[in-house]
Amino acid sequence: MRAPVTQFERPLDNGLVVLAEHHPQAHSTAFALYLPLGAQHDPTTRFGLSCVTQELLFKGAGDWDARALATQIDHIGFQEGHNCERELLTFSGTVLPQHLPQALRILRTALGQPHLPSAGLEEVRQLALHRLSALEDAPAQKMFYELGQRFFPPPLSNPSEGTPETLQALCLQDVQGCWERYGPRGAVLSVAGAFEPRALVAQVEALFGDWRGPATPSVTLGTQRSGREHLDQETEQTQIGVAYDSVPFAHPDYLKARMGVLALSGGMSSRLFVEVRQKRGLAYSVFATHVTTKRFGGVLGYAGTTTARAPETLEVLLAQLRRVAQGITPEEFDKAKTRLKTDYVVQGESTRARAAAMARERCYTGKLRTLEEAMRRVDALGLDEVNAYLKTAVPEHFTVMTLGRRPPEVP
Amino acid sequence: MGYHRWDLDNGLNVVAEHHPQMKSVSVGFFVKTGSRDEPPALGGVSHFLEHMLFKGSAALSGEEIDATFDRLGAEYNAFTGSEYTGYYARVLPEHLEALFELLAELMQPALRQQDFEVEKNVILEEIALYEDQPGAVLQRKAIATFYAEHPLGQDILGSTASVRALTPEQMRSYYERRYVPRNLTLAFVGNFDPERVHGLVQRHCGTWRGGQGGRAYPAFTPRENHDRCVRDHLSREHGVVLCPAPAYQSEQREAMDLVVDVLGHPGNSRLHWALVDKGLVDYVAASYHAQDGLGVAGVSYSCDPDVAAAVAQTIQEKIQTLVEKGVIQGELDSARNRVLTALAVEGEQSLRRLFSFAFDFLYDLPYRDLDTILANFQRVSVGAVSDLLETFSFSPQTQVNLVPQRSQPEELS
Repeated sequence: MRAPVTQFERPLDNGLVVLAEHHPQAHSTAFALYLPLGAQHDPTTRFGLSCVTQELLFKGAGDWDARALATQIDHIGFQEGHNCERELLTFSGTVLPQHLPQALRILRTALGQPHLPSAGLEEVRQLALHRLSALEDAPAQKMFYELGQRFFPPPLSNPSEGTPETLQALCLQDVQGCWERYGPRGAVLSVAGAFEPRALVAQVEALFGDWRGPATPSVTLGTQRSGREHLDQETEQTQIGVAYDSVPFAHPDYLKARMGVLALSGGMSSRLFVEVRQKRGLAYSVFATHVTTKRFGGVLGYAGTTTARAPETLEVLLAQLRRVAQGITPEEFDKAKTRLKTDYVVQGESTRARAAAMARERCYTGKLRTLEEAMRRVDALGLDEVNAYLKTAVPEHFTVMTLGRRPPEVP
Repeated sequence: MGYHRWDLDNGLNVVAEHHPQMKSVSVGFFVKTGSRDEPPALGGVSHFLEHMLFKGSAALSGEEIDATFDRLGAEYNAFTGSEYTGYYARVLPEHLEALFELLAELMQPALRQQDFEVEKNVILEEIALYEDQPGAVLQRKAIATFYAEHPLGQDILGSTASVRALTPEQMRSYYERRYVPRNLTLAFVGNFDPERVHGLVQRHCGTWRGGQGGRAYPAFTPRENHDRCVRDHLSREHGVVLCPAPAYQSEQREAMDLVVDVLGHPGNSRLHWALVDKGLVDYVAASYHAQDGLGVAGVSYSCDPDVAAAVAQTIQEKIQTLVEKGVIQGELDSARNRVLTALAVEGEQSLRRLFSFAFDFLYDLPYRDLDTILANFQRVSVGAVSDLLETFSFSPQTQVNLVPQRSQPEELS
């Protein structure tokens, strides 16, 4: 008999929401701490600040310098990850269950007592500048970096990587100010895997109970830029990125929007793969994906193709994105349902995927669902309501970004 | 957890690791063939063939194959390496029979002329895609230089010219020679009924016939190589250092895994602290690739052209110190602890476990469960690392650099 998975939620007095899902059969435990910060809070003259500040936490904290901190992390085999997103600042980790308390202690120290050393700032700044320069040798990433700055409404459009000018402008005072915004209000800590539930709550309270911080300032969203732009670069392939508005994760129509995207790009029988790659052999890599922050959702389409074939590829790509508004077929609907439900089941095999999904859902919607509830929501969807939604979600204002030897002729 | 292994009369090797607590089941056909097994004139045929398997069999069209995978909610893909080609999928347990029937059908491709011509364009696009990635260009060039005339130096994608020249007849003949039951390992991992799997395999693969398979093992003598390629429209300098390392079949494999981790794990390693932490490179990593009877280890990096000479020198110093003084216990433990967590995660997810499970059989090794793999890592001592470094002393080296045009002032003067 399999022991059942159980889930619980405990808000701490300081505002930190603790979520846990117990998987008694798991061999590992994963956690995710998501703060409602991210690159959207960077001033326009300081793009990259949130990302640089987050990196600096690991340049020394508490009694540890950078190396001692890394040694602490490796000593318990702590698979550590952190990321600065547009609307979230994320920290995550996977460990053997016996090491969970120590991993949380390390994270708490990095968050609460970072040294933020000036030498460290220079090193992190140099690395960030190198990474920007490396974008020049990575055409697809560069195209997405540029597309994101045009497509997302400001300040969600802020490039978390910064720009050469804004990175050069950063000083320790900026970093200090950015770090002072960290705090438990609106933050979510989720844990999934094998652990002792009662001990976990006590550990988290002991470690995070004294954490304090200001409320996150609210940010108003501005208007995006649509239209076409091209960057000249001597590459074999033209990189084509196309984006249009959709709904965010918390929106009631989110699953319907996802189903439209799954018809476009949910396996090798999906429309983009068939029309661009299988029938015409225009590209090796072609896809569409739904992207979402807390407040904004969109659909990104991508294809990379040699220069001469770029106009036809862009034409086919745009035509397929537009055609979704006419609805999806019963077969596409069934496939999309199966895909979504299978993804949920398989998510239950990965403690890391589960911890991340729980934290994200709680941050975006203020609620938490079990995997079973998530699957029931998918089951409850009908084809007619999906198609009724898609009819209202006609992509009208595309943001198109291309990078290559010449702009694809307007088809 | 239970382990099962049986051979069909035709020589097909079937292995299965049963994990009743997993929520999914993963299946893969792994063929002992890759670019090293290609006649030089057919460069890229293994990889092109991998694409063609998804274009249909006598009974099914490519569209039907794709639609069936998607209807089953399968996570599926394929890959081609220098010495293996793999086709795999993960589904929920109730779809295993339908999935397996499809995979078995996929393994019997029709190789139709019209599909062949369309897919050739996709392959040429894939080659163009990697041409725009300097790190990938350099890696392929370095491997070709390191292995020189040895077939392991043959490129997996092939060249634009070799792919253009390929015919369906040549591919058919390669398929018939290489995709024989004796060259195949069929692996199952996850939640399935072992009894039913026996019947399923017999029903769909029992009639397959074919020859001996196997592969050639020419001798290889590593040599010193230095190569600098100047390239237009490049922003960073990219470098690779390669040297001989233990083979997949070697008992020193785990020790080598830990050594490259100590030297160049991204995040915490000697090269990280010397280069990334100092803001000198945007990327540096050491890696180790164990192969059939041979192995290659190395370091790759990308940096500003102005500091490239200093970076290359630091890498050589770190390698030298490692070879002369070995590792210390704390570093070894750190590297090992990273592996322990990774193995725990591997044991929870059927698709992650599938590959390391199946590969041992492709290299004719006996079965190892996760505890055995763990014990192999636990056994690696500081002394064992020193022994390893005496035999594999990071030499002779192949050093290849891709250098932006503008950073060549000495050649302009």
